[in-house]
Amino acid sequence: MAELFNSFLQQLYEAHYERMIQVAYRLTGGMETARDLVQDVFLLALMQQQTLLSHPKPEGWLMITVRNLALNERRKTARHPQLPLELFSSLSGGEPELSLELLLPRQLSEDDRTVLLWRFQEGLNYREIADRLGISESGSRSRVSRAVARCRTYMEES
Amino acid sequence: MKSPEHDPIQSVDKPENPQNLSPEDLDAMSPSQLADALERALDDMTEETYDEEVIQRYLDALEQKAPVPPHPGAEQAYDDLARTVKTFRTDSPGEDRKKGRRLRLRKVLRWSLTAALITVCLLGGMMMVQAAGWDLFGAMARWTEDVFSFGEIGGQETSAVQPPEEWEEMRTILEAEGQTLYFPQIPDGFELIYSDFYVGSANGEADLLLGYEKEDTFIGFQAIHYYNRLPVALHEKDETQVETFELNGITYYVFSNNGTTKVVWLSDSLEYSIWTDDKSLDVTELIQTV
Repeated sequence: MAELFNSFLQQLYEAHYERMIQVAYRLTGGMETARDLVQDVFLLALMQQQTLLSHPKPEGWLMITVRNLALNERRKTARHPQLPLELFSSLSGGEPELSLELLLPRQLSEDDRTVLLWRFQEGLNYREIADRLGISESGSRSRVSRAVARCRTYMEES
Repeated sequence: MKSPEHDPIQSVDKPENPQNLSPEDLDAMSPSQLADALERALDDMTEETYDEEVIQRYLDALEQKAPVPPHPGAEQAYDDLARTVKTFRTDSPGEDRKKGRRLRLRKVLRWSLTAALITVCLLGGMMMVQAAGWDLFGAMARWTEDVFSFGEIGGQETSAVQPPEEWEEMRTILEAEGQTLYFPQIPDGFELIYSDFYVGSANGEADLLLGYEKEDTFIGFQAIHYYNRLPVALHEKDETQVETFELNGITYYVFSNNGTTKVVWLSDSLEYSIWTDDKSLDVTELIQTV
């Protein structure tokens, strides 16, 4: 393992990384987002080493920071417009009979396609999606918002 | 059969001491209920009172019902982080900056941006940085007998843009707590393109987001109501200085993020922000108390 941190931070990383990833995933609903968030936390920890050395509970600092970044991430993704029906109507060229699955941009990941189909074809609510993914209801809203945003991006690019 | 008062499903929606939940209680909860309960447990903890055992119980219960997707382990993630930081340290500041309305921290690792973000008091939950002490009030304020403005005073133009439903929804909730909700002075010609009002089921925080557009320009407005918690929002910014001004006892913070200008302020337990990429607009003119 690269000798990036001193032994103190490295020990924290090894001891708490997995738990942090799981918490970040459960709060945000996305594994890529969770991984990015945890890396952000350790970047911040790298710059706060001296503070953490004297902190009474550094693992508490790590986990509360994960929570704060996750909540902020959810707020950012909530910014995306929830206009999926208009979006998909433009995809189909006004032919509502076409299956949504056929209309989604092929660049979308399987995970994104899945949550979009759950939400807009099967009509699951956010609680039901959250149950399927094992995440919070807030996390499922973020998850769907991110998928909608990526769908729009691919549409605009094409 | 469990008695109603021991129904774990009912107990999920109440502020419950997670240590009182038995393995059977956790097993009876759905994955989303467990995730919400996990979030509530974290909300009740501080860095010093963080209880790893409690959090692990929720994670274990969740893993039984809805396993986390496969992901790299700590060693590989550590190596990835090391590579990222080494790349980050060798980049020269000011190098090809990504443009766009929002820059995600994880995609733009520049010393200047990170240095600016690190100065944001993340640990304390506050997002303001050092003030530059710009005396906007003295430099730009104009008024007549009945009109005050930071901009030009011509005819008394008032915005025809009315608050959307979602704003009314949030206002109603806040009024019940004796608080008022601000609505910005949206210039004519801007149309509402999206609105979202969200109340967190786990912590009850209310979050209002509005977006307005005119041709190719954009105005965003956000109001976040924190319940029993310090503000935790992070606002991305570029390397330019944050400027402040005082108005009616409130400090307003103005900063930019690659072409977008933003003003942020706190009022009671509400955190407001307004941002725009319209260069012809003065964000301070958008601030008007309703």
